[in-house]
Parts: sequence; C-alpha cells; structure tokens
Amino acid sequence: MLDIRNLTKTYGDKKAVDNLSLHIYPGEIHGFIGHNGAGKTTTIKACCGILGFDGGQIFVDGISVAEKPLECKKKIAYIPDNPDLYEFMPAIKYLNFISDVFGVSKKEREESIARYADLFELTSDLAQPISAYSHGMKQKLAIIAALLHKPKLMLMDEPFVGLDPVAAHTVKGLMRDICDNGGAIFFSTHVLEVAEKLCDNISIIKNGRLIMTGKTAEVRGNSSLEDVFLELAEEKFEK
Amino acid sequence: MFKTLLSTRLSMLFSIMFGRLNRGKQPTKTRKVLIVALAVYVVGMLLFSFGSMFAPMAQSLPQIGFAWLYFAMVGLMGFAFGFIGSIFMTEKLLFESTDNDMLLAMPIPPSYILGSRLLTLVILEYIYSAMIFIPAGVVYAMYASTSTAGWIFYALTYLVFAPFITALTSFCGWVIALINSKVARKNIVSTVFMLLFFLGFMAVYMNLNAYLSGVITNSSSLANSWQNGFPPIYWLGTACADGNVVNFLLLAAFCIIPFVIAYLLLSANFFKIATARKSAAKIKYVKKELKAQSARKALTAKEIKRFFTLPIYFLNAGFGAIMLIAAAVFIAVKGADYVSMMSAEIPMEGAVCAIVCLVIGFCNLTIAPAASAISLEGKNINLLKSLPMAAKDIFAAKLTPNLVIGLIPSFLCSAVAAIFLPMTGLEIAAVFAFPLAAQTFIAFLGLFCNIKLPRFDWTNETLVVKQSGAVMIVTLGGMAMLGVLALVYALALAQIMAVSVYLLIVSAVLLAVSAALEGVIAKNAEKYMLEFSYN
Repeated sequence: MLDIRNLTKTYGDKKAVDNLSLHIYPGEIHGFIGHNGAGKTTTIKACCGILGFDGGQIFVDGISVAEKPLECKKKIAYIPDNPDLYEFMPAIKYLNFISDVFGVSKKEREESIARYADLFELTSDLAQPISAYSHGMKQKLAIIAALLHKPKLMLMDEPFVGLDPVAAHTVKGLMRDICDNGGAIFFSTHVLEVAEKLCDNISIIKNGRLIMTGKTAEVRGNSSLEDVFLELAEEKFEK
Repeated sequence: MFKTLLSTRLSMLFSIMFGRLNRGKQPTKTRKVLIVALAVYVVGMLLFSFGSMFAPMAQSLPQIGFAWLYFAMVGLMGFAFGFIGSIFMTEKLLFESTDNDMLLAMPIPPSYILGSRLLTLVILEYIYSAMIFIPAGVVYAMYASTSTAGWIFYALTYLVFAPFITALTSFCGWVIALINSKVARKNIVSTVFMLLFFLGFMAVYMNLNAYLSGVITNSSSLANSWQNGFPPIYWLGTACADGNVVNFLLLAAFCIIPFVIAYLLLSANFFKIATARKSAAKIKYVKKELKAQSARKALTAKEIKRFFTLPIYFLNAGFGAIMLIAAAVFIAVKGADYVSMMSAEIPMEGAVCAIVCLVIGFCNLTIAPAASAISLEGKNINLLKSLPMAAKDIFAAKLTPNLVIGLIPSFLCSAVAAIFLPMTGLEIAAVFAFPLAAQTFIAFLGLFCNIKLPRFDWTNETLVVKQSGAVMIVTLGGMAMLGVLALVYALALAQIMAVSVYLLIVSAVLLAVSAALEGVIAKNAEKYMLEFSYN
C-alpha cells in the first residue's frame, strides 16, 4: 500500500531523511517511532505529497507520489500532529467542505458524519465554529474529516495527542477496522505502550536513517519496546 | 523582559510588512532596492498629498490672524488619520493575538504583555502622525512662520499626540472585545463596528474639501466655537502658533492622562478579556440536509465565506466594491450636474470618460483579496496542500472571489455611467473595458505577489490583510500605475490620440499582462504550492 524507496530529504546541509526505504502492506498498522527531530514528520509529509523530496521514490497503492500526487491524495488521509483546521467555519460546514473536495456522495457523507460524530460525542457541537473547539475536539474533528472518504491509507502524525482515553480507545478501534477492511495505517507516536499493543509492524528512525524495522514482536525481542528504544537512543549519545 | 516583548512584537510587525526579509536569509540586492523603493514611494506619496492639502490653509489662515487654527487643523487631521488607520487592528493586536495563551502561561505580568502591545501601537501611531505633522510643518514653514518655542511645541505635540490616539483606539477595542466575549457570532459585532467607522470615515472624506474651504471662509466663527466648545484644540493651536507654554502643558496633560488611565485599566482587565472567549453562547446543532457540490466550487465557496466572515478582510480588501456601488448611485443621481460643471473647468475632449475610468480604476485597486488569500491560510497551509486538488485549481479558487467581488460592481458602475453620462460609442467601450482590465490585472497581480511573498506565521489576520508586502505592492503599485498612465497621456499622447483610444489600448495591455501572469502561475503552480511552508 505504501512503498518508500530510498527517500532522502535535506534542509540546507542537514539530511532530515537519509535513504529511507519502507514497505507497508494492506491490512497493516505500522508504527513509526523515533526521537524528536528524527525525521518522522518529514517522512509522513513527503508520503502525503505536501513536502517535496530530493531523492528516492514513494508509491501509494502503486502510484508515484511525485508523478501523480492528486491520484495518491485521493487514496490517502493525513492527520497532522496539530489539528489546524479552518477555524472560521462551523464544524459541520468543514466536514461538508472536505466531503465536497474528496467527492463523497451526499448520502454517504450524511451517514458517515452522523456515525462518527456520535462515536466521538461531537454531534451537539457540530454547529459551533471550530474556533470554539478545544484541542481534543479539533483532533476528533480532524479524524472524522479524515475518515469521510474511506481512505485506503491513513498517515497519522501523533494521532493520540490531546485525545481523552475514551476517544483514544475509539480511534484505536477504528484503526483496526480500517486495516481489517484492507486499508493500511502508518503513524508516528511517542507513546511506546500504544505502539507495542496496536502495531503489527514497527520502524525506528534515528537521525533520518531507518535503524530497525519488522514485526512488533521481532523488534521488541524479549524486552519491552521502551527498553529497545532507550537502548538505541543511548547508542546515539555514545556515538 | 519588557524590552524583549516589545522587540518581538515589532520584529513580527516589520517582518509581515517586508516579506521574508527577517527570516534568516540574506535578502538579495534587488529585493532590498525594491523594498526601499516601495517605502520611499509610499511615504513620498502620502507626504505630498497631505502637504498639498494643507498648502491653501497655510497661505490664508496665518494672514488673517488665525495661525492657531492651522495647527488645530493639523491636530484634527492627525487624529483622524491615526484613529482610522489603527482602530481596526487595535482589538486584534491587544486582545486576540494567537500567542495570548503562550505568553500568559509564562511568568510574565499581564501588564507587561499589554504594555508591549500598547507601545507597539503607539509606535505605529507615530508613523501615521508623521505623515500629517511633517508635511504640515514643512508647508507652514514655506508660507508662514512661528517662534522657536512654537516649533518646539509643535514637535512635542507630535510626541504626546500618539499616546492619546492609542488610548482612544484601545478603549474602543476593549468595548468590541467585551461585546465579542458575550456573543456567539462575534464576527457580526466586529463587522458592524467596522462598517460604522468606515461609513463615518467616508462621510468625512467625501466632505473634506468642502470642510477645508469652510475652515478658510468661516475661520472666525469656527475659531470661536472650538475655543469655547473644545478647548484642547485651542490649546494645541496656540501652543504651536504662539509658543504658549501653559496651553501646551494643558494639552500634554489632556493627551497623556487618558493613556495612563488606559494602560492601568486595560492591564488590570487584560487577563479577563484575553481569556473570556470560551464563555461565548453555544450554537445548537440542528440536523439539516447537506448540500453537495464540486471540489472547485467548494473551495471557491470556502474563500468567499472567509472573505465575508472575516470583517477585517472584507473591509480592507473589498471596500472598493461598496465604493463602486455608491459611485454608481452618485452618477445616476448627480452625474449629469457634475458633467456640466466639469466641462466648464476641464475643457478636455473625453474628460468624462477619463474621470469615470480613473474613479472606477481607483476603486478597483482597493479590491484585492487575492493579495492576501494565500497568506491567510496560515497554519492551514498543510491542510490545503494535502487536498486532492491541482495547485492551479486551488489558485483559481483564490482568484475567483477577487474577480467576482471586483467585476460585478465595476460593471454596474460602468453601465450606470454609460446610461447617465454623455459619451461617444468609443468612450462607452473604454468605460467598460478599462475597469474590467484593471480589476483583472489587480487580481492576478495580487495572487502572483502573494505566491511570491507568502506569510503564514502571523499571529492575527489583521497584519496580513493590512500590512503584508503583497497587499502593499498591489495597492500602492496600482496607484502608481494609474498615476503614470494619466501622466503619460497628459504629457505625451493627448495630442496624438483620443483618451478613449488610449484607454482601450491600455486595457488590452493589462489583459495581456494578466494572461501572461495566469500562464506563469498555471505553469509553476505545483512548484509554488510545494514550496509553501508554515515552518
């Protein structure tokens, strides 16, 4: 579903992502972990087609992001680390706007909005301008908007930040549903317990380079994911 | 700490004005030259126009013994210019900055936050007031004289005046912020306030010439009524004209005391006002049938909604549309009278056509929402980039509201002029063609400038809409264009061709340049879009 081949992205002299290759299959929840500034967000943004890259290729469902970005974007849903939405719009108008842009039929959008708004307990707030929403409510709204066009691939940057435990649980359930229906999810997180429990596969990035990838159980080995991560982080300081 | 806050706020203000000059990149020589040229042009134009306005008064008032009335007029004009110039941004800058939460969470006294913002406004006021005080002083020195003490008090009046205007605009901003905190649809309140101010300003502006000649002809009765009715104006005038120390001290107290009161009152209430938004009344959701439309229409509708729901955007980037409708009404009602009066004073063939085109063209210059439409995305730029839409369609959606909002009232005004004013067929063609071409050019130029000079890191929209580089280039560059076009015709082409022919040629050129800009934007759209970055 997502095929990243030798991705390289530089900012000035600094290599934010260095020759990174990764493959995410349908039905897979793939966690992406790394220290701050490791290159997680850069990688995710490049996969979404919102950030150009200097080397390598990215394919979404076999389509090149660099060559056919629009085709790819139709299959993707991107949830950024900060839910920056159009605050001058009421939430319902925002969801309708996103549905229009993604060409979601009238019937489908009405059903989806009703279902997800209920699920995230946002129904009574749909008429409110987004500017009146709390961070968590905005995050829920961003997730609802991302689900409206039934994406094949979800790219999520720290999706659990700001969510209450109930909403976080709901999101985890939805993520599993999407993958059970043939979709794929690639998300970054610092919450290692969540990654350990939720992900089928995990990749660890350090200083822009992929240093470990594989099934969660393989990456973890006999210790916890936290121990593995801390061990790798220590190696960084030793170097 | 206070110094840091102030310098941060000022650097933000100036970085918005001058594009990416302060973003760590070394500006190119061309860029530096362009910015300096733009600044010189803006300042020069304002100084010249205000100087010309004060010249008749400087020639007549001191000669009939009313020198103080001249300085009183300078004070009044300085007040009007500064007040109108800053009232719309005061509430946003003082109470609605997006860095409120961040700053309030730090160990910074709220009085420091407010103080630094107030001082930024005072500095802005000094810039506005200088545009009046400097040319008025120069013109007065050319035609009349005052004592050394008078000049010293004139300079000191300039210094005490800015805090006074800031105090008044801050109180108004406070009232708006208080009302906004109690209602759900706060934009409506801001729009009503802004419209009232704009209508007031327009009423004064439309009658300015009559008022200024009234000052000269009725100086004696006016002087008496001000002297008795509103003494501060008299204190100001006599301090500068006669070097009256006591009156200057009275004026200084009149200006400084409100500023101190404003600072004390607002800083005591700053925390409450800045954090009061969340208590606004909740809007109840009632399920309605949703309306589906194409992606492009949805994006255009989003742009139009932003235009009409953001008062500062609507009034700054679209006020020309209201002026055009007012102009159409004026032409229909009084146009014929003015033409007969004008034909005696301007014996130029095609003068009616030229003036109509100049007026509509001037209004067109102020209709430039495209010049800030991209910057207004702010943090949402990544959201826009992630949508499955071609960049050229996104840019087209940014452009369409500009064309719709500009072209419809322009066409209306042209049609009314064609019906009610005496013009030949060719002149009528020019009256339709020139505004259409000018508005199209302004829209494309605005979009192009905003693509080249985007600012996403603003803390409130006012700065982008009012003072970003793209907006300034479009508005002021457009004015320069109108001036140059008029001069070229008057100096070189008036004997060679009719004004209508000239305007039709200019229209064709403007449309050709617009088409070229459209081509450049469409060709590089994806590249431009990929380069946009909030960080």
